[in-house]
Amino acid sequence: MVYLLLLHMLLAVALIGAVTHQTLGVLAPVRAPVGGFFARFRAVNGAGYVNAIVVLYLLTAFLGLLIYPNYRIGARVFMEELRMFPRVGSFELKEHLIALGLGLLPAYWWAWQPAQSDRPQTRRALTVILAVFVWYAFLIGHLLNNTRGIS
Amino acid sequence: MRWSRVLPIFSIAFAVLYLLTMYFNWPVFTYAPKLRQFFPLRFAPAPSQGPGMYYYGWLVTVGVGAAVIAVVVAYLEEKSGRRVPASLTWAVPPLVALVILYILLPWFTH
Repeated sequence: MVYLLLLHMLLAVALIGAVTHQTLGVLAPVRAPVGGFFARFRAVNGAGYVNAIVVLYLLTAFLGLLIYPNYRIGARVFMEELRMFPRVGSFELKEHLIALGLGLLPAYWWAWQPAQSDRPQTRRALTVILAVFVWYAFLIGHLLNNTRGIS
Repeated sequence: MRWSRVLPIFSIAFAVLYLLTMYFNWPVFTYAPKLRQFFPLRFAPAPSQGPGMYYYGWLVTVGVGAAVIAVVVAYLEEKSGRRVPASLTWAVPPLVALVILYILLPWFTH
């Protein structure tokens, strides 16, 4: 189970990187990269990240689903006994945002197809929403693993 | 029917259906992790049997339901010539997330 959790985290790191690159690329695009790190970070072709983000999201979520029972009968019970209710609630929100993100993926993939290039606002908004969900899930997962990891 | 229309409609339907499914607790099945057993629909294990997990069952409920709704709505779109606005794909999920946050508020004010 520990190995699954580590793999879950590694995939989440890759997903965070990809989705952050793409989000900054659509929010503050750079046409001709100059020397700075931030400019280069934004100067990516967002369309090239779409399939990777969808696959990484699905794999990360799938591993999360496999680990979830361990959290439910282990870490969550521990936190409830210590009355760490905001942390339990934070994880509840995480599971719901991940589910909403799963539902968002078809629209996200559709919006990034060349045929939808006349919908930049939809593309931008869906990318930002997905990034917010992913970042929230990543940070809360990390926080709660620090509170009570899998043993 | 154009399948490319099904995808955005699926995402809109998924968000709305997810909110209803989690609020009213409509799982297709329940998983009891302590027993390592699945039970059809909503099942509440005895306290000694540990908690029941409805999340997996919700995802199936919502996934299948949203797929059916998306196909039907895409078909109706083609018949009527009217389209579901694409802006709903990004407007609905954050609204649903806010409603869910409101539902979860007792965890943070306990």
